[in-house]
Amino acid sequence: MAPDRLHCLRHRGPWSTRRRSATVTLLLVTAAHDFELSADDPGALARAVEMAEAGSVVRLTRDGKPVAEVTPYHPGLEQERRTSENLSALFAEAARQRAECPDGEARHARMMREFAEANGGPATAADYAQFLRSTGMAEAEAEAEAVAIAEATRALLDRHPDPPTDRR
Amino acid sequence: MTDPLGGWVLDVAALVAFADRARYAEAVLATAAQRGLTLLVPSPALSQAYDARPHHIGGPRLATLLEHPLALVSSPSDVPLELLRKLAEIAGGDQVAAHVAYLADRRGWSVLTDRGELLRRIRPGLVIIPA
Repeated sequence: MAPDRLHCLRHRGPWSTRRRSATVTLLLVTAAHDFELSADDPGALARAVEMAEAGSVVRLTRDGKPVAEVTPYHPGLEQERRTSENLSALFAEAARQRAECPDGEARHARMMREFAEANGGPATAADYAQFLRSTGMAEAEAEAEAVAIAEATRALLDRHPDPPTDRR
Repeated sequence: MTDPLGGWVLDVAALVAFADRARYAEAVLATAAQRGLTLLVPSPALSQAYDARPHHIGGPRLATLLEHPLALVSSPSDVPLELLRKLAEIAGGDQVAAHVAYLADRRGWSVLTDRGELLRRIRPGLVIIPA
């Protein structure tokens, strides 16, 4: 491995994930170094680890022959990997749901119906008013808009009466 | 009331409410639909919400949100890296909070969150809606 060569570790990180697609980011490793393991230099391994932590790929050698590589460890890498896996799973499930129910309004209706099922009935105008007040809306305006929201939701569910698929 | 250019940024707590199928999330969705608001979902916050509940329960519910016509997922790659670092430093290293605060500040949108104090420390003046 040539010194100072750039190595690109291919991985899917959260910073590269966009809606319904994931691109690839590059982790740049600054350089590669050889360390000869020798009884005369007991600190070599510690230095090798330090360099790996700083981003270098370190090749350990004995009698000039490679015996191991110390690869860089990025503290955030494990978290990035898990985040990437989480998002991949979510986007895959989302794509499945979209294929199952392509119409956006129907998906909205399905979601509202599932909320109602989970909460023992649809939200009332009072529920909506309570939420609207938490947004800073004035009492009178919140109450009027809450009634409109409740009516719109009822109309939506009437337009899409099909029972939802149970995905819980 | 319709504000087609407006929206809310959903922090982790608000997304967890969707994973729980809570009444709060129902109100968020119905109100957003009525007012034509975009629900901006920061992808790192989404991942944290996904981890906060059993995947087989919360996952499909969060995926349903992602497929909702009002939802839009935002990636931190849209934020200049150096700025993200600086904001995260203010947040004690919390890149998720930094990303959420940046998005809300940049768009001038409110944040649905349970950590308004932290987000306001990152970006003073943010409008917080308690989640």
